[in-house]
Amino acid sequence: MMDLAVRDLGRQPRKFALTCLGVGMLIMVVMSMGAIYRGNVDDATSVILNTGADVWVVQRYTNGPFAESSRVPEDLKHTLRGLSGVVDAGALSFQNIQVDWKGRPLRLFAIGYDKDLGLGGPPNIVSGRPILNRHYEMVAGVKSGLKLGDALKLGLDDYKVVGLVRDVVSTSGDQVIYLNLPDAQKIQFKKDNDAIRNDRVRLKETLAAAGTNPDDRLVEGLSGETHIVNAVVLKVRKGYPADDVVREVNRWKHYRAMPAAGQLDIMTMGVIRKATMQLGLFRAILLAVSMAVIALIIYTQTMDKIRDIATLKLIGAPDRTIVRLIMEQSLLMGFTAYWIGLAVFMATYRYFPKRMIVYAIDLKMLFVAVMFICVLASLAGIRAALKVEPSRALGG
Amino acid sequence: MTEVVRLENLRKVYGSGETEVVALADANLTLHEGEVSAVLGPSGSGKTTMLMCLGCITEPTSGTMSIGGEEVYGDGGWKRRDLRRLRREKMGFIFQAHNLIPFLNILDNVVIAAELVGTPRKESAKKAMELLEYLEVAHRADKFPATLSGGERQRVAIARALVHGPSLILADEPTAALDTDRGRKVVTLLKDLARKRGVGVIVVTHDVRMVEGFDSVYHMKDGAILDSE
Repeated sequence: MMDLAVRDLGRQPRKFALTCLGVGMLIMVVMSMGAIYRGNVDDATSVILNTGADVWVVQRYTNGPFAESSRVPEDLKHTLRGLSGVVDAGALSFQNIQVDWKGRPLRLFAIGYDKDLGLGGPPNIVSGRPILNRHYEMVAGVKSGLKLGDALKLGLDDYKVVGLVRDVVSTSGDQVIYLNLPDAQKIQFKKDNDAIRNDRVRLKETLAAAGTNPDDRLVEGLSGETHIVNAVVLKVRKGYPADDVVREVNRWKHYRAMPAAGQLDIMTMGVIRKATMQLGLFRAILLAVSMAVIALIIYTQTMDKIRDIATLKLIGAPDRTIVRLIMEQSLLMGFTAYWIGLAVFMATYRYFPKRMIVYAIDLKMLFVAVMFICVLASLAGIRAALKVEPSRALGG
Repeated sequence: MTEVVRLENLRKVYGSGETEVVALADANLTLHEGEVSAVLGPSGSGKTTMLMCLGCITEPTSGTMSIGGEEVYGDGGWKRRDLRRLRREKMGFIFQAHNLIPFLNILDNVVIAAELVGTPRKESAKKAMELLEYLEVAHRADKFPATLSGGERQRVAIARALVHGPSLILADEPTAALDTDRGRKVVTLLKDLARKRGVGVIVVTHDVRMVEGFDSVYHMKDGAILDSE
């Protein structure tokens, strides 16, 4: 049996092409949103995954530094290193920074790590070297705009870029910089001289009001405390259950410990959930719009040839021939639009300002969804075609 | 001669009570292979209703109707369920406005009727070309209907009605859209084909000039067949 759908579409190729182009653009946006979502998840989890830690220890009753404020003493790492199964423990600090760089605001996510341990440090250095000196060096994200040798003022001091790292960004997509922990602590907690003097006076007056007579060295020591970090990460011996370490810390150490997977869940289920839901909603709306467009076009095309359909029925064409004519047109439209959308997406997604990640499974699932909505979109046209009486072909 | 169609007291009533309209009143008609009959009458006389009953498009109210010796309507209901198949296999239709499918070329417009009854594409195309040659429109086989004249389109419609070898052709005002000369040619063609191929043809028309040489002519008025000649 000849293919009526293709022959009908072939009669108006320009109309078909323009419709496919329009629907293809909608599908391209759906693809982009899927890729943005994947990029968001990857961004949100990249810091956690790149630390290589098995267990995260954070302030008790908090969800950790990525979800809310978490402060733990740096020397906690020494205590935790002694736990059964723990082979390494490193203290990490995290901080959002915005500086002026070449006349433009530059947002960065500063990670402080112990350069001698390496745990939580830069994972993939693409050029330059890791931090070797104790102070005033940093490794920056390759897309930050910073180059090897650049010096960036952070807090009170200048820091030189000695290495560039790839594929690590903050939850909001900001490029990271890695600093040696004391430098990061200094940037985060060290105040300028006026602020330090004010703090000391305030502390001294507070202690005096409490009936003590503190000497200046005690006040200086208490007010200048910077040995605080946001989390301590642990590396567990291979084969040793991380959950045992988690249980041990939670029970005896008065901190909250969670496996790396738990920290990832907090990120994906909590921190970026709203963004994920928004993207999902937009994708659903766009697919619904695509379906409405295809349905409208197919219905209009069906009504345009309703007398031809009546003629086909009168000369004995079975319903399946009529259904095939309409559904095949809808599927052809969706199929062509999908490949147009994919071609445009593949050609442009690298230039998008936000990181996009494309997974083959997402594209395959979208293809199935598009085909499914094409079937749904053809139903109104099919219903109209099946309802038409063959007698409509009679008369002038 | 083999009987193609027989109507006995076929009746079609629309509505009921005060709104009842008798569109076809106890019609009796017989048609044999190779015969050409005309149903004549003014608008509203019941010609199209009879055609729709004959084409199994509209269900009669009472009476009996046999096609090819098989009773398809009787005892107040259809005797078979696959009426579309009956139309597909045993009937050919020619319409007032030719009703060619605009997105199919001339050859495909004819081929489709043969393919619908399961004839393979190659054989269908061969039969279609033979008919188009006979009807002198083969040179337009790759063209679309919109590019043909009214007479050419009607000849293509005749080819489509014949290509699958039906025993009955129902023609609804086949000359209405043509001038007198072309109309006569189409009618002559139908008569020739009916005799050569042994097909029964019923032509519904209101144009008395076109029925010359027909085997029988039925005159209708207000749903009733008044007389036949």
